[in-house]
Amino acid sequence: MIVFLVLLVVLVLLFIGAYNRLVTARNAFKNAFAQIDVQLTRRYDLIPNLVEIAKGYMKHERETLENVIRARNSAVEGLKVAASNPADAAAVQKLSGADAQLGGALGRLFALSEAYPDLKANQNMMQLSEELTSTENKVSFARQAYNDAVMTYNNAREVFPSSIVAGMFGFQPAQPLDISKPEAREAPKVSFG
Amino acid sequence: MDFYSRQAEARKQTRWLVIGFILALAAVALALDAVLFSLLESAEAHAPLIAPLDYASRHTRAAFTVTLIVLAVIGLASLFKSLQLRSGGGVVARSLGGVRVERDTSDLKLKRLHNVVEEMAIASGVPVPEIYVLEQETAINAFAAGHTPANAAVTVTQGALDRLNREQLQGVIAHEFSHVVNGDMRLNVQLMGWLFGLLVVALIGRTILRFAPRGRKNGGAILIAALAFVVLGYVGLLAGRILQAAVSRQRERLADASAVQFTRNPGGLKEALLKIAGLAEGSRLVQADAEQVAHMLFAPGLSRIFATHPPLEERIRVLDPSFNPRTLPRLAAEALEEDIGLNLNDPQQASAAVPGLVSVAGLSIAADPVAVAAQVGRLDTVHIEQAQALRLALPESLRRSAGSPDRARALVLTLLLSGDEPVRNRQLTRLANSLAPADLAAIQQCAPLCAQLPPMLRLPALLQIFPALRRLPPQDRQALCALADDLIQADNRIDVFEFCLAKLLATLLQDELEARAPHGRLSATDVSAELQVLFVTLAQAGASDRQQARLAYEAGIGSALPQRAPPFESLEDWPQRLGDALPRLEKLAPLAKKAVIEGLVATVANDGMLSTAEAELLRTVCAILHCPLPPLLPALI
Repeated sequence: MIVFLVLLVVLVLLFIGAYNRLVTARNAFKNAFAQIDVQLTRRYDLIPNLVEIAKGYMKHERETLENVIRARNSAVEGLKVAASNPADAAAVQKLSGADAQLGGALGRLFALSEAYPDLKANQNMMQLSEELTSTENKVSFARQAYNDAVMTYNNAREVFPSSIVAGMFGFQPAQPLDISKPEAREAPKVSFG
Repeated sequence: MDFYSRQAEARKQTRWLVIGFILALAAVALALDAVLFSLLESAEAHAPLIAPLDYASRHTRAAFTVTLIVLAVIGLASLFKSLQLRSGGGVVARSLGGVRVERDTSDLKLKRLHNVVEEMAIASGVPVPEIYVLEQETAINAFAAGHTPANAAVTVTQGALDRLNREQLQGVIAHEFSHVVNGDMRLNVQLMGWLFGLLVVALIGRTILRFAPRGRKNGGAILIAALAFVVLGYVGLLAGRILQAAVSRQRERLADASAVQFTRNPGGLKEALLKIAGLAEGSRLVQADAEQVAHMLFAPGLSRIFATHPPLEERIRVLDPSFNPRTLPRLAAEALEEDIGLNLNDPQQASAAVPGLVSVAGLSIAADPVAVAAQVGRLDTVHIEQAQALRLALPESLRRSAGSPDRARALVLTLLLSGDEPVRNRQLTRLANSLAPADLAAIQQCAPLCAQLPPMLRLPALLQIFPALRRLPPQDRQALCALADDLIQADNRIDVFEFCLAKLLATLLQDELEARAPHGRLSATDVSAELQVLFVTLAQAGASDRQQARLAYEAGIGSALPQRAPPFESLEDWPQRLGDALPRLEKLAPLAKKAVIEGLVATVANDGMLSTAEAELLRTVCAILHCPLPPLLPALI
């Protein structure tokens, strides 16, 4: 009788533990997704400042600067649509396309800025490009953390015995972010020494 | 092996080692039991017997109690130590001299550090910890401290900040985050607690050995028991230390593997390790009490047998399987060459940064009409509100120009150059005799810029570069002090600025070498003569005639010496007298110092004007008395 009771208590404890682990893992990957949003927004906010400073020095590169602004605006639009409904795969796809275009435009801007030593030495420009690099990194780290969190969650969901708990309470499998275009992940190379 | 399996391997090894640690503790407890039971048995049988099991089988209850007491002693001692070590990471970082890095810092390097930490916080999914910098450490190292991710602090040395590029810094920070995420700090505190428990066993034995009653009945038995405590305690401690170091090495392997997980870039971490290998000072910290954090450091801070870190070569090989240890010296040298690309010790950068300082400072003076009005009367006097504006204008631009000790030294010497042509030439000759050509060139470069520095900003500028000066090796510091004295003596007279500079150099650069107590126990009446000298000097510095000086003196001296204030008397040889007085004033009790400084402020503020000499003297006195500037003043000076 006592053996049976002890066994029951152990089983209940294991059950609670498995359930809590699953919930923690699920919250972790949801939070990781929110981070991506935050960092993308921050990136788009930084770009107008960058263009404003570059304008003063790069008088002959008007077209490049306008391209950056245009790409930035369409990425902001894309983010708005995707954030309102993260489950919409097409919207997310569009956002990642716009973001990739922005990355390309920025890359050209930075390549051209090599020819303007004054611009490169500008304190504000140095601060801004550090901020941009950091934000790019944060976006990719947030994606990576999201995928890591998804993996941890899916592992917890699928291994025995917690898979029983997951089945009982309907824990759905999570999808890792698929980066279809490699350049979407590529941060523009910023080098200011 | 990929990083996931390396992590799993390190975790498994840790588990076995911790089990080993617990077994070692149990073995010590059992051995103590065996000795105690044997003694009790022989006392009962009145003959020396080694039969602990016989005793335990006959007196189950007593045996149980004895075991419980032994375990309780070890357990309580470790609990005590763990609680003691449980302070937040910030406390540890500050105790090692760490300076906090704020989010809105304007220094590019610190900003980069802050960004990298934020990135790693995102990658590892923990809150952003507090960040500290050890400004005096030129080696490359870092550590994480704190009991939980929520109160963790990440600290890096100035050397890591200066010498690592962004990717390398990221690798190092990612490594530290692994310690935070994997709970290594908690594990380490636990292990140190257990070690302390064993130490207490040994200490109890030693205490009994010293004070045990000799010659009485059972005296021999007590001595044997005490000896057993000592021996078993120390043997356990030794085994524990070795196991603890082994655990630490596993956690380092785990952290290296996790750093790759967080950054997905083994290159940065590898290059950082190569740089450490190539650097003469490597990762060694100057601060001796780094032992407390030895287990959390990025790379070993202390060289010793009980290594807390795996060898560098092994760590590099894990990150890059194609790495050949024989090429290490060459690769390390290459890694260091990159420093040149990072603008380290680049004289051009120095000259580029200093104009920024001057233009900012110059602007704030020209832009303020009040300042112009004030300058009509006395060239070096400003209104108090304007001093506030000056202070705001200064620090940011200076921090940039004061990155390297060599540049800071050039700046100090340049500030001492006289405006008077013959004197200046004499000073330059002396400099040429005792300095390397490169240093002399740096001084020539700074000279025109320093000449433009408004007098009011000279001392604040100096104080900004003191942290950099402190990074000079001790013999260079002494040489600098001697050289500065030499320059000051060149015109055979001492002005207020020169006096202050010499005193500050001597005090701030040398007091950590001497490690004196910052305060003494003297009361104000013990040093009334010295206080008189101090207040008279300050009053004279701010006043244009004797009458005004007397009023300023009386406004302040009453606060320091309310009962018997000595009367005002003019002083001509104040540099000598004040120089003699300051060491005695330093020995005042803290509360008396507070009253003195309040009095000094009253003297300075008596005429509503702040002259450069007043500001400089006040700042210097505060620094020498080891008192912060009073709350009213930081805004002013």
